[in-house]
Amino acid sequence: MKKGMMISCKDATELVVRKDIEELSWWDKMRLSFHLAMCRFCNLFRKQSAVIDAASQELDDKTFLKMPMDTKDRIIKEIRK
Amino acid sequence: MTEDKKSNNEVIAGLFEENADYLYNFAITRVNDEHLAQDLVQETFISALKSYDSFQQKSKASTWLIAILKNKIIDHYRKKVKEYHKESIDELAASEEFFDRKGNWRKEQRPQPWKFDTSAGIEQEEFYAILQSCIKRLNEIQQIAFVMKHLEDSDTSEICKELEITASNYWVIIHRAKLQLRKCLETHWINS
Repeated sequence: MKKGMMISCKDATELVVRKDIEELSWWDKMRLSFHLAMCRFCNLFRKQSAVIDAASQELDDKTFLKMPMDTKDRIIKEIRK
Repeated sequence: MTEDKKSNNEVIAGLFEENADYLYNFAITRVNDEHLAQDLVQETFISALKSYDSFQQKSKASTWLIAILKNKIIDHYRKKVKEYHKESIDELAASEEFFDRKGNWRKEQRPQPWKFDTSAGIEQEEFYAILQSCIKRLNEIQQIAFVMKHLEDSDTSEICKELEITASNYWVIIHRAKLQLRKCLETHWINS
């Protein structure tokens, strides 16, 4: 990542992803806010990234996949052996 | 003791009937492969049968079973990581799919506004199904990193240790995974 205040969209999106996981340095926060203030695409990325994170966290609570019956029968036989 | 002691096999068979779908759903959201998820659940109950005598019923049976399953999933991840070629992380980093050489969004990759209202919460079952299928399209190391982060809430150092990668590789993997997921969701959900 470049040293200056101006960062690319590639760098900005990486900072968005990092920000969701760990605390950014003061300087990274500054230049990310600066970039986001000007770039609507990275702003959309930031919002949508948050939607993806929230949904991913509850993925197993929101899916209700059932094991196929024939597999269940096979495993039950295995257990009773 | 007048109560007839059921054989361990029958007890485990009963636990299987009660918990099979729950464990299967848990496994498949973490390994994204039906057959593998079925095998892992089967192995879980075989292990449970062997160790039932040492299970003191201090915890709920479903908690005990999930703990066994989690270990099997982690073992599977470790196996995958061993097979994984480190060069593929460099390939991810070098890929110019989303940005041009200056690091600006390529025109066709620019995020578009999503039409549904996210403030109302995402209830749509379909959204989760599409998210699941988008995760499945990531490469294996990305899937594992993503699942460990979001479903297990593991911290960065733990994931790096488990996947035998550096922190900077981790950011490459997760950054790229997020770009791909966003694009995939935009294509398959928002515009469906």
